Amino acid sequence: MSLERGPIVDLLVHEDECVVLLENECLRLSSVAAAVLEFLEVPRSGDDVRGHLESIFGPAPAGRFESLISDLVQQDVVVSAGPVRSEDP
Amino acid sequence: MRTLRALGTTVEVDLGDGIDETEFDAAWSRCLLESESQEDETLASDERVGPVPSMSGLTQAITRQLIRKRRGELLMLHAGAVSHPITGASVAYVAPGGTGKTTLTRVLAQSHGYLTDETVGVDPVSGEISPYPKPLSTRTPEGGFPKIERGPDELGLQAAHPAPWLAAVVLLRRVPAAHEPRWTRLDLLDGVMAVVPETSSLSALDRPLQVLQDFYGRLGGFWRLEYAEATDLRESITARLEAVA
Repeated sequence: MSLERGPIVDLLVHEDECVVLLENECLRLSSVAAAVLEFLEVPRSGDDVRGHLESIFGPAPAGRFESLISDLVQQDVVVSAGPVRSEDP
Repeated sequence: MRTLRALGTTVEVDLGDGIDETEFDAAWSRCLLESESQEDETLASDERVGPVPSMSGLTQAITRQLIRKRRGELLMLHAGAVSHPITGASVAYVAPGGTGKTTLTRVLAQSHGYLTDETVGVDPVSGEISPYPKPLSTRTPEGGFPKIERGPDELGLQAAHPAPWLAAVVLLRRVPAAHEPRWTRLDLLDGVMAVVPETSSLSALDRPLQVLQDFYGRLGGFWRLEYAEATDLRESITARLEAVA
């Protein structure tokens, strides 16, 4: 799995939370989601994103990461993309 | 045809046969550039507003056209606004339609310059406000519908300061049981989340959330203002404008 930001118009991060502006919606997201979106300034692999979150928040319970990403995808702030070229073998 | 100037741009209005010209000119006196402009044959039909058979419908169409023309250039808030008569410091009171902006405007603009009761257009860099002193929709003397459009001159509203600037953003909340106006400074993200739904074409601006964050910082925050009656706010808002000026 590789991930990148969805069609975000703008992102405002403040004190570990963030507000995301999409074309027709504005969402307030958690500190974990904010960390994901900041890290996805460029497309990343799912493993890279998981590792980044673990470096900040520690290991997540089983299934929590997948659930988070699924929620963000459903909200259109993250999209699954093809493999990130720079990480291809 | 009429030419109106508002929100820092102009719009051509075709009155058609359904709108009384004298009534229109009185209602739009603060925006009227030419009372009888010739039809501009070079103007594309979608650059022109009207004809629309009712004054209220025409007002809505004019508003939509003005907003469309300033898309991507102005921060546009669904808000009423008045300006300090000497300094130009202005308060924008943000609220959804039908929640008291016009009533409050009629109270405040007896002593402060009338900027608009519907759409506040703000330069995202300088904070200068482009007034939109449209007619105000008021209920008929019998209190019913349809509402009628009454011009700011007819209502005795004060003229806008020549160079109004945004000094405060206030989110109105009517609380019938409130004994006196209560100001609450919102956290940045609470403020942004409250303001965003009350904007037009926000996403067309460059870095729109950054624009809101900048205004939040420059203005010392966005405020929630709880009140019971519009008349309760006269002294409170006057004091706030005096303080920032």
